[in-house]
Amino acid sequence: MVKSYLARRDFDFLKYRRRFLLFALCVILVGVVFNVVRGTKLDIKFTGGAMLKYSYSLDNTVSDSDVSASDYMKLDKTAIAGMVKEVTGQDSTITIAQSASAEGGVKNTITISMSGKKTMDEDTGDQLAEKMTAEYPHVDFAMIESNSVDATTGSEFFGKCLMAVLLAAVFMILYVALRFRKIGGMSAGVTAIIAIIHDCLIVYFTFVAFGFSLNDNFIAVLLTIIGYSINSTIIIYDRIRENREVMGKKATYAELANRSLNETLGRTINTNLTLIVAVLTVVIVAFIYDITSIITFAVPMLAGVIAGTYSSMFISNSLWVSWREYRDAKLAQKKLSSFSKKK
Amino acid sequence: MKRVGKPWFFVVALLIFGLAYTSFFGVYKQNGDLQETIIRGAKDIRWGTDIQGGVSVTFGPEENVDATNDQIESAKSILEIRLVSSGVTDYELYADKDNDRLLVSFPWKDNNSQDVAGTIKSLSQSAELFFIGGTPNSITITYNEDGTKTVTDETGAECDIVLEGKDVKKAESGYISNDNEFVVSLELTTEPAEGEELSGKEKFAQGTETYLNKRISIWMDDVCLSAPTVNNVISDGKAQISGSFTAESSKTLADNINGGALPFKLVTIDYSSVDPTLGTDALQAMLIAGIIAFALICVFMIAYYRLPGVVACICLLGQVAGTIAAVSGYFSVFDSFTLTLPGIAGIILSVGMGVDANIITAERIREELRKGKTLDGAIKAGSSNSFSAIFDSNVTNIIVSVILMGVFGPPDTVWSTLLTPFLWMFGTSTTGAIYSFGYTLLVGVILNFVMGVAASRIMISSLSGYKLLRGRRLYGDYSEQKKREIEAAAAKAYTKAHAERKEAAEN
Repeated sequence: MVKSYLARRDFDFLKYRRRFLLFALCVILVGVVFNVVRGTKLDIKFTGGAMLKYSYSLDNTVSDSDVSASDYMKLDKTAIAGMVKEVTGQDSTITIAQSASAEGGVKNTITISMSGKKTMDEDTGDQLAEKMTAEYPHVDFAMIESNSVDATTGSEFFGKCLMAVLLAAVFMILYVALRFRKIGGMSAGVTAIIAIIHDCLIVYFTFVAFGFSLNDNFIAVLLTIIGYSINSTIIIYDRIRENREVMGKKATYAELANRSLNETLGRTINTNLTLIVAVLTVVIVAFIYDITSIITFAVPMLAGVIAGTYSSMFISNSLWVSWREYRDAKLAQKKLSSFSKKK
Repeated sequence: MKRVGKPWFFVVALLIFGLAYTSFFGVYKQNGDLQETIIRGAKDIRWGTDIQGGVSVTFGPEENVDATNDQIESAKSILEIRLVSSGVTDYELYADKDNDRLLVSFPWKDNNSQDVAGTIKSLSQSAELFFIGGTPNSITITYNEDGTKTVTDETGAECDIVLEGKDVKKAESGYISNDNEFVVSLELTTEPAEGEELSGKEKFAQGTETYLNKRISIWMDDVCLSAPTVNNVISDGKAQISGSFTAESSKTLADNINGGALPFKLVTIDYSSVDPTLGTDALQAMLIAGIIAFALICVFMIAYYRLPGVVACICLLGQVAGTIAAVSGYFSVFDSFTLTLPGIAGIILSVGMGVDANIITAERIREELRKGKTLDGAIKAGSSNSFSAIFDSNVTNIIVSVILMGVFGPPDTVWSTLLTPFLWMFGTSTTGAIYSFGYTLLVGVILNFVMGVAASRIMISSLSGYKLLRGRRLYGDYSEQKKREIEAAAAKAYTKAHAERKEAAEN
């Protein structure tokens, strides 16, 4: 039986607020370093370009007693890049991967990406397969995926995606402004938005760190996280507003925030836990079956959910308390100085 | 809220189980040999090309050619005819008139050749039929900016066009047993085509007169089909094309002539293809992921929240079933949506998010119980206090899903129209995959209101009417048990102390 692990609810979160903020800053710093080292990759959906993916296997004319299968299956990347150059006149990047297949066994795939302005035409896939079969007569190649995007379409799509993010940001800010008029005003609204920016950065850095190229999945994850992360923050601030009425003016900001955090802790942890469990399951299964389109979707989503949990619990409140205390201190100082002047 | 009558739990739960059963397995009526679908099940879902495998292509006119809206519209209907005549029925076809784009995507059929290049070419071939006086070695068709066409031969001289596709009323493939040969018979128009003076019948009569005892060559695009010699003037408006046709090729040609020629040359701008085997693996993987995630969440909810946890699981089942029904269309009269891999991820995600409503309510009930409220009072307060929080989390998600659907969806939907003021300057770019994600997320969020809020409250309230189910522990309040434990410990200590004292006194 699960005992209520949160029965004792009087953690002093705000005591460690400097550490929480510092930790977030460190993570972001690591992300920046990654970004500088690895750079940002844009998908061909944004830049234009082409991708071809083949699965390959040994054909049945080769008996086991022949040279070991792995020798036949060894593809030479430079030779294949040469063939691509012959067919399309373009440079290419080639990746070879193995993954589990649903029917059991191993699936070998080779992916060829080109990022030229001129995209390939519909015959390229077949022509290349022919050339590769000529070079590796005992290997069967089957084209399983192809993608060719025009550079203009790509840049327009990129613009559209950026617009979508901007649109979502504007709507969220409007919603926050509307909602926070009652909750905590400017200070709460701004800190909530800082928390969202933190989450978006983490999603972005996840793409960079894993070497995923930014594509429409990135935009989808970004928007989802923006929509999701704001909720936890709003719920906690809503509790602060409620508790202000209960606890009165005497309670310090830290006390207020602490109590509200503790009271909503069950919800915060459990909701995020269930979501993390759901996304993590998808991540694990997608990795086992090597479903690229889902991996590049679910991994950043997982990072975003974790970042969202962290930021709503530790970042927005910590900043809010500091902001309020700083302002009060300033007000007090002002009063004091004007008082001493009078004297 | 007054406590709901006891039987309501069973009513709601049965409704949910019924919905779940029908939306997963469907309802079919056996009508003789025919199976009639009354309610669509999960197997009737239209899978996206990333699962079923298929092709997506974006066509446009050649560079520097600006197609009119009418031309785009007619190109669209020609593509439609070609798709249907080649046996593809579950295609998606959109025309973006502002940017002169035609977007087609369709899944591979079971025994399709999966020939990407061939498929794209057969869709985009111009299908221009020409009867040309004389026999040039090759011809070039040039599309002029005013919408007219010029045909030139290999020397660059303009050809004399006797007849073209639009002069044909109807084409039919046939078999002439005498010659053991397949032919395409043409019935020519008797009314002049738009902007023309002569009808097909008249043109052909004139042409055969001009070229009597000479040869006329028949071309489909830049391929010469045959070049017969004209033996007599044909004025009955009937013509025949013979060549080395097979049953299949004569039918294709007839279909193409009937479908009509494209008003401009279609160029492949973007395309993508996915092999069906790739998608089947992915679908299976996502189903496994979905079942595991659902089971884990249920175990957690029941273990942690007890009775409200059980209710939450029933609600989640309802949410998933409702989403599947919304995707398949449920009743066969409704349109169905295409479900893609990100769409399935959206269902799983919305289960993870949707449980939030139940968690918020259950937490509130528990909290109120700890404050010492009665069970009924706690349930009532828990329900009313949690509403604003649940509402908040859904509003932001709705905003996001609408943006996702508007940006990544096809043109001419409510969503994209809604966002036109912001996105008009960008071309259409359907990413069906993400569109489906936005849709399942939106449906999940809306169903969350129905299930996580309304259904779950009715169920909890009705269950709390049963004496057996009124234990506060069932709602996660252990304080009473703890009190009893403390009392018992105190009593034990007291008896022990009492016994010790007694013993001491006796000594």
